[in-house]
Amino acid sequence: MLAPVSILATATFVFATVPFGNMLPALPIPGFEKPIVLTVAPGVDIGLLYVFAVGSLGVYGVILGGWASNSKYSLLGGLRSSAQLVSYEIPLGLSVIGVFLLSGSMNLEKITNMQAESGWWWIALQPLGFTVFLISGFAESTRLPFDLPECEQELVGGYHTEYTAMKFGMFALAEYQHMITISFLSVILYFGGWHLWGVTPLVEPGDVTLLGALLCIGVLTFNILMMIFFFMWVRWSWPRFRYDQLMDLAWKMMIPLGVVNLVVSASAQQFLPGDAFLMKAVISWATIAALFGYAVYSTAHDPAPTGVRGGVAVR
Amino acid sequence: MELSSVFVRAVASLIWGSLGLYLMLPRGQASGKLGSRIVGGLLLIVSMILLATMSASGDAGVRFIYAYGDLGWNASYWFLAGLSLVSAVLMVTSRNPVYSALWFAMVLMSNSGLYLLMDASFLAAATVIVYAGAVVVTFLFVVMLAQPNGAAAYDRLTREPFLAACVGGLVIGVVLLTTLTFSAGTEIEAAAGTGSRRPSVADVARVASATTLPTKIDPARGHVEGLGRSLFLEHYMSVEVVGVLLLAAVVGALLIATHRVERTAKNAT
Repeated sequence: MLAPVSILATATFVFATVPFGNMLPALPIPGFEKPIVLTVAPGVDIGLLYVFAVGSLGVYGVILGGWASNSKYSLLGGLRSSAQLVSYEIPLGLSVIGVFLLSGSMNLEKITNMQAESGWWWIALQPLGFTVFLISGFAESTRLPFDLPECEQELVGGYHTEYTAMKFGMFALAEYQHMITISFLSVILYFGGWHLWGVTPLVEPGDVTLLGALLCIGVLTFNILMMIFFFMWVRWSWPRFRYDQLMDLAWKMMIPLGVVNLVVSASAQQFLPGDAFLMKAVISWATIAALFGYAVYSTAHDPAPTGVRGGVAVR
Repeated sequence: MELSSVFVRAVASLIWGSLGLYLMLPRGQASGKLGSRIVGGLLLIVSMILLATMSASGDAGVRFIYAYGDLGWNASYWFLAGLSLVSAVLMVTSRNPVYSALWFAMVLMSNSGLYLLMDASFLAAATVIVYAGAVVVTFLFVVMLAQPNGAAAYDRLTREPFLAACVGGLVIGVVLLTTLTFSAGTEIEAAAGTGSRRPSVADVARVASATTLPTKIDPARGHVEGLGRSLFLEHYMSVEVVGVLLLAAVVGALLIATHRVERTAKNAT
């Protein structure tokens, strides 16, 4: 009983930070006399760190569920899914550091405002970071290419085989909450949050209008729904990874790529002026091109065929 | 509205709500008589009405904080401190290693709650990320070593209506207290222009670094930035030394691990 409760509780704590827009203005309706701030824990510096901290506790539910089921298949499922979750937390954390560097803050509100003020979505400046973030996010929320925790054909369900009714419902609900949270995080961090050029107004918190607030809510919701659509799309288009491919991808691809992204964006941030967004974008896309060229070169010139497993170039 | 009446009303609504919840929850084979369910539902409705009238009672919350402002802080402090101590004792004394690991995680969580109470939010998050992650790894080893043997006693208890009702009431109470205290606190701060909270760890660090460092530090800067400045301006030597130490540890671990693999490979052939 502890396992489903803990996994649902952590998922809900993370979900509690999902904003639905920027701010609601004061309305002449009882209960709405004051403006309502819809952002995540306004003024808290560690916004995103909180998400990671609570999200990292979700592993307990997985491993406890596997252990407490008193069944070999569940135990195996729990072990390997906890290994997956622990591994992919590292590239997930590495990839968002680029966003912290660009925004100069971990506050989700400030990150969005920076993108709105500069007119650049961070996806244009952090393509590599976004790729790493998205793949790790898929793995963290155990969506399909990474759904080893519950591969029905091998483990009859994985760590939650032995759970029934509402307890299984808690596990399933937690997974979908993770999906929504990851979508919201990628929208806030890389797709400008509630900002859309020429549509959502840039105003001070004091004079927000009802139309502007509704537009912000609409833009944010639309972006999140598009991300969720992307999740579903990938789910039906991609086969599942094998376990060793999964671990190779995490430790040999994602973490080095995350470190490369960190070094490149830290250098760009240090040696370029703060508002040289075009230059930073060029540098980061050039990095991607160089990495791609390197991957193609090393795949073509690899004497041993073991260097390539399942189409993934392994360095 | 009288302050004491606000308080009494809150407590009464919580108790009645919990009682109603308890009466409505299913209990094992004798899954509740219809009468007790109806009574429970009525109690729940009454408690909801009480709560609704309380939230509509305007500025009672502002006066509430003058009387009970520190209540939430103190209650959370003693609860978390006690939880931490009890979990630490249980971690050492429990026989099952899995429970030891769980109690250890509990100690870390309550400690990070204490940090959060002292407004050191970065420290709290870092504790959870670093230590809880580490505990998961130890947990993996423990789970590999300690197989569960047979069904435990609590496997037969699928529901605990009494505990569930108590916890539900407690959670609603805490949320209520926080909402009242928080909204009233911001109003008071806005009115008086000063923060009524205690000085936090980050405040102390900011003040300390501002007095010792020649660089001017803006007090409006955030906790993370203050902490980072303090670490990398004041204690940069220690940070570097710790970094080198950790690097040496990683290299040593790699050395030991690869050495052992070679030896086992040799033994196998």
